[in-house]
This record gives sequence, C-alpha cells and structure tokens, in this order.
Amino acid sequence: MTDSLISRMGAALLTVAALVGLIAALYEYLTPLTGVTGTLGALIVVVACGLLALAGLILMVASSGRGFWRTLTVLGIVGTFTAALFLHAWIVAGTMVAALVGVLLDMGLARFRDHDRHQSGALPS
Amino acid sequence: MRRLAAFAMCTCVAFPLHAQDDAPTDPDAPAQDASPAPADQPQEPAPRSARAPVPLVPEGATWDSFHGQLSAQKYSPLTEITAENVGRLEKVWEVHTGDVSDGSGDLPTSVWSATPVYANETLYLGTPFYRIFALDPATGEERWTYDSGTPLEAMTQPALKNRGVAYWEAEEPAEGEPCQKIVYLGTMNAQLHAVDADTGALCEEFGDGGVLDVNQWNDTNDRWPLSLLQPPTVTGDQLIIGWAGKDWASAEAPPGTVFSVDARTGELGWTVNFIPEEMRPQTGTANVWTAMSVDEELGLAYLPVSSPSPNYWGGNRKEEIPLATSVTAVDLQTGEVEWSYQIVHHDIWDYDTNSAPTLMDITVDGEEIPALMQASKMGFLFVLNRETGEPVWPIEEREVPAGDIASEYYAPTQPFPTRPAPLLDQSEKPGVWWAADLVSLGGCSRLVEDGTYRGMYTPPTTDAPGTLAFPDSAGGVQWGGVAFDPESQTAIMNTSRILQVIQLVPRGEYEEVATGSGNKTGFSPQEGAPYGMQLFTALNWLGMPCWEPPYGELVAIDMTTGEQKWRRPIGASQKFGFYMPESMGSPTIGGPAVTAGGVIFIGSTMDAKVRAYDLETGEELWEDTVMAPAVANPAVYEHEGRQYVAFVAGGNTIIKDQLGDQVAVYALPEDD
Repeated sequence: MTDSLISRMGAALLTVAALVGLIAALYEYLTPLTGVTGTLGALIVVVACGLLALAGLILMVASSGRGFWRTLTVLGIVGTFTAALFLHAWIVAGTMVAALVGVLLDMGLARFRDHDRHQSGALPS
Repeated sequence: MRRLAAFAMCTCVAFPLHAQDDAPTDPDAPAQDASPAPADQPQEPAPRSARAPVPLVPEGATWDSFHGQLSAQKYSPLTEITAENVGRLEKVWEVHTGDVSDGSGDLPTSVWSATPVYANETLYLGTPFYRIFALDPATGEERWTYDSGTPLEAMTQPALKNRGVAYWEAEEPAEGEPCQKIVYLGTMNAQLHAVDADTGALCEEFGDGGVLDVNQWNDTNDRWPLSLLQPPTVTGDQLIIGWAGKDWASAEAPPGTVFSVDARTGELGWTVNFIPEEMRPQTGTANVWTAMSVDEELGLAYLPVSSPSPNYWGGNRKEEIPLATSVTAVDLQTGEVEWSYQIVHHDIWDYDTNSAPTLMDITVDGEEIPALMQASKMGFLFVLNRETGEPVWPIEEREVPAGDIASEYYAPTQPFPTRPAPLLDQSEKPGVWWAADLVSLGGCSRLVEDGTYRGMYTPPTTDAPGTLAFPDSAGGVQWGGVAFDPESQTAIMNTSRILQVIQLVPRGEYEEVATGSGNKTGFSPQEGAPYGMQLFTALNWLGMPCWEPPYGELVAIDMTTGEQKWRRPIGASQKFGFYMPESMGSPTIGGPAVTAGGVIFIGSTMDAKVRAYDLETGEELWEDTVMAPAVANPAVYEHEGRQYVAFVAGGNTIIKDQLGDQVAVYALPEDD
C-alpha cells in the first residue's frame, strides 16, 4: 500500500462517515415523530455533515493547507457531535466518532510519514 | 379564611327555567318560567334527576368527560397495563384530523387540549377547527364527523382553541328516537352544538335547531362572545356551562357566569354570578373557563373561579369580590352557593383558579374526610372538606407586601396552606442558571437582581424591569389538574417552575412602547385601566431560561399525611430541537392519568413525548414521541376487553411553537 493511498484512507473514512451522518441527519430532519423533525438544530447538523463530507474530499486531494483543513474539520466534528448529542441523534453522533477517527488517522499518518522522511533525509512534501 | 357559607344572597342568582324559543318541552324537564327571578326571590328547586347519583369512584372503567370522571380523579380501575408490562406498550393506531394551523397562512395558530371521551363504544374528540370526530376506539376508523361551520377567527383567544367535547345519554332512552345520546361541542363564538352520538346529526330539540346561542346571556360589558372552549360538565340531565373571555384586554369585561341548561333542550336552568351585581359594570370576568367537578351524592358542583378584570390592576374593584379567584361549591339543583373558598384575595396577578378541584375521600388521623384538592398556579395545594369548605390542614392568613400604585388596593394578607407543602419555594427569588447567565454575559443576573421581589404576592410595579413573578400565570399546576389514586390515596400532579416578569406601563406611555403580544406574553392594553402591562418570561437572547432548573416536576403526595411521597423532574426542555438533560425537567401544560395498574400516564412536556411512570416510585417506565406536546390529560379506556391509553398531541404556543393534529393510542401487544 503506497503512502498516498494510506493518506487518503483517513480522509476517505471521514468522508464516508460524514455522508452516513448526512443521511441520518436528513432522516431526523425530514421524518415525522423523530422529535427533531423540521427543527433548526437538525438542519444545522444536516448542513454540518455535508460540509464535513466536503472537507473529507478536500483532504483527499489537497496538497497544501492540510493542517488548516484538519483543524477546521476537527472543530466541525466536535461541534456536530455535541449538537447530535443534544438532538438525541445517536447515529449522527456515532458517525462523528468515526469521522474523528478518520481525521486522527490522517493526522497520524502524516506525522509518521513526515517523521519517516526526516529520518531518511527526504524533504517533506 | 374567607369561607362563605350562604353567600348566595348577593352573588348567586338562580333563575327558574325559562323557555327557549320554539324548543319543545321535554316531559322530563324541570318546571319553566319565562323570565329570570329576582336575586332575592326564593328559588323553586328543579326536581332532582331520578337517576341514581354517580359515585365518587365509578364502579366500572369510566372516561366519559374531560377529566375522566365527574370527580376529576383521572383514575382508571383498569389493570391490564401494569408497571411491570407498560414498557411493552405500542402505538396501535393514530389519526390526524387535519385541523391544525401554525399561523403562517390566513388562519390563526391552533392549540388543542382535548381529552378524548370514551362513551357509547366510541371515542369522541372536538378539534380547534370546531369539528367533532367519532372514532372506532380499537382502530381509529372514522365513524362520522360533524363540522360546526364556525368562523376560524381568534375572537377572544390568541389562537383557535378547543378542549374537547362532552357526552350525555338518557337514562331510559326512547327506542328509535334520535338524540338519546348527545355529543356537545362549544365554539369560540359562544355556540353550543348538540349532535346525535350515533350519527353526528344535529339534535333539533336542543337550542335553535341543535345549536344553543349562549351569547344571548351576555348582557353586561358585551365586548366579546362568551367563548365555549371547555366542554360543559354533564351531570344528570343538565349541562353546566362555563366560558372563556379575553385576558388582559379590558378593565370592563363580561362578568363571570355559569349556566345550567337542560341536556335535551338547552333550556336555561340556573345561573351563578360571581361578581356582586353593583360591581359588574365596572369590572368583569371572574369566570369559570376550565373544567368543573361534581359530587352527585352530595348534590354539589365545584367551580374553579378565575380572577376579575383587569388582571394586573384592581383599582376599579377595590370592594371585595369574595367569589373571585376561588373554589366555589354550588347546589346542583338551584345553583345556590353552598360555600366558597377564596384562594387569592384581590387578585392582581392573574392567578385564575385554573383546574377542576379533584374530589377525594381521604383518611387523616383515622378520620374519613370527604375532601377536595384545589391546585393552583401559585404552586399551593388547597385541601378542603368538600362538604363544608373548611381546610383539612390549617391554612394561614399571612401578611403580604403592598405596592406603590396609588390607585390600587392591596390585600393585606393572603392564604398560605401549611400542608401539603407548596410545590415550589416562592419565598425567595429563584437562583440564576449559570449557563444562561454566561451566554447572556451576566444579563440574567442583572434581570433577577433588578427585578422587584419581596416574596410571593409582590404586587406589579411600574419600575423597570418589573416585578418578578415566581411563578406567574404559566407556572404551578395548569388545567390538567391533579390525579388521584383512591386505593393508595395518592395525589399526582405536574408542576412548572417558571420565572416571569410583569411591568405596569402608564397609559400615557403605553402606545409608544407596546410592540405587540404573543400567546400570554408581550404587551396587553388593559383598556380602561390607567396602566397597560407587559409580561415576559425570563429568558436570555438565545431563549435559555435565566433561572435554575428544574423547570417541571411530577409530584406524588400521600393524602393521608399531606407529605410528598416522591418528586422528580419530568421531561426535557427543548429549543431549536436541542434537548436539555432530563434532570432539568420541562415546563408542563396538561396533566396526568393514573390507573389501578400502578401506572401514571402523562404527556405535557416541551419535548413532545408521552410517558408512563411507576405510581409507587416515580420511576420512568416508558416513553414515545408524538407530533406535538400533549397539553391535555390522556384518556384510559377499555374497549372489547382491551385497555387503551389515548393522547391528543395538539400543542400550545404558550409552551412551544410545535403544534399538532394527532391522536395517538397505545395498548399492549395482543399476544401479551
């Protein structure tokens, strides 16, 4: 498995988790009797999940500014997770845990890759 | 104490029956007279119905009125659903009536607090669009509907409003004749519709072709119709009718009256007035807008009487109005006042007596006492002997603060029940909730610190930001009232802790500052008074409550001692969909039902959930989500051998902008 493939794994996990969260949040928002049907809070989580999926795609392809996107993504995940807890949207909260794992995986791989490159004398890309 | 035995001479005007236009005379109807008798003329009692009186606790499962039974116990002897198996409860059917409006179109918002009525092997409901639904109790299948054709206008209330229907049946029905069983629906424009319970066809003998114009008796300060939002109380062959008005609008308003009419014909029997005759033109209301209770064995109806007009200034009514803001017992035959107990003297806080007193036989220190419990917005529970009006436990008259409005009169004392303990501590300002204070950058602390508060019954003031009212009109126990389990002698009630702020606005400034009103909030003119008023709930800019939780609780009281058995937060507050922790509770509107299976059923909370609790421990056993807060009592009934629990999820904008048209009915799985 190449470095680039591994580096995309975390971002891919983030994207998939966010998309599953998006579907779950849409269900909460649109389906009658979820307790949060049509509410502003559920709509915010729908939008947040969509933006997190977009962030995952950016991390998969971006070659610069990755630290900025990762930071923004982590903040988004924490906020969405918290909102999902207060909405009692347990599936969405679960997907945010998975999304966070994706980002951490991506961050860990990046550090490992950078460390490996320093050890071998290669310049970081 | 202001017990008022034989007070009838000045405030109760019992009219002999007089003929309704063209209404045929029923052979069973009481004697009639063409005109009302003068107040001091001896009354000719209407003959008591031949039917046997309904016992306080009916022998069978009965849920044929707003509070289930005439005693308002909201008690079902059914035992199929128990604390052990209620967790397996499932929704067996639901119906959406379509009668809901969020106010975004041409119609006003709708609020719906109907308790389904089970009678004639049918489930009957009234809707806020003033229609009647007759449904199959097992399936929800529609048997018939009736449309009253009432204009959907907010004539007296800020919203289209209905609390259901009433049911009557002849003791000896004439075979083949229509209208031996009748369903009654009141409307906001003061019309009482009577329809055949089997077909939904109008009962031609009732009123004028099936509709009784109650507004024909609106003869003083006729500023708005006598809105019939609460279904009448049916006892024997008579209907006892209260009505709702327009709060906070005028100093002079229709004075409170309760009418007894014949269940078959609508002919007027007796009338009770709650304001002394000479004072009626200058004030008004002190009406009965909520449910009543009846003890047929004692021959008494118990009327929860509201506050006079205007609600937050009383300079136009400095003389005593002893029946205002009271629980008043009247003779079922004559309407004569047997006794009355005033729960707030010279009410200037809108502390309407807002629920039917719950009638209960209790054993205190070995003595059997025919009692009633009158819950209140203040969080006080008044327990009285329902035969005499005497307190069961001492109620003390304590000094309360006076205010600084020169044109006002301030009652020097108010009644404080010593037992049961009040449902909340109204002696001190509530603490500030740190989270709301943080979000408001200290705004909550400043509001609570600056608000005028000298304990319960601090009068309204013109000083900014106003008088802290804890609780005020939205607090304490609302119209769901108190449930009672006669087996364990346990009273159950839901109560709210809500901090509101009231400020009087001098008339000269009112037009400049008044920015409108919502449902029981905002500015109201109190036209004719020197002050308009503003009332708001103490929330921060994000809508978070400024005061400490819990915001709502469920409470059980051992009525043999008056001690609390348990209390616990109920439900979750919710804003923008976000639930607060259930340990903080939710404000509640609506009320409980209790069963011999040891289960309490209740909706009432902001989170639009319906729940079951263990009567013994208060433990939550079951919940489900419904379309909107269930702001009425549930109905518990048995049909074809199966026990059902029915909730109406109609919502009320006082508690939350989430409205519904859903009837949700639950039962155990059939294979259980």
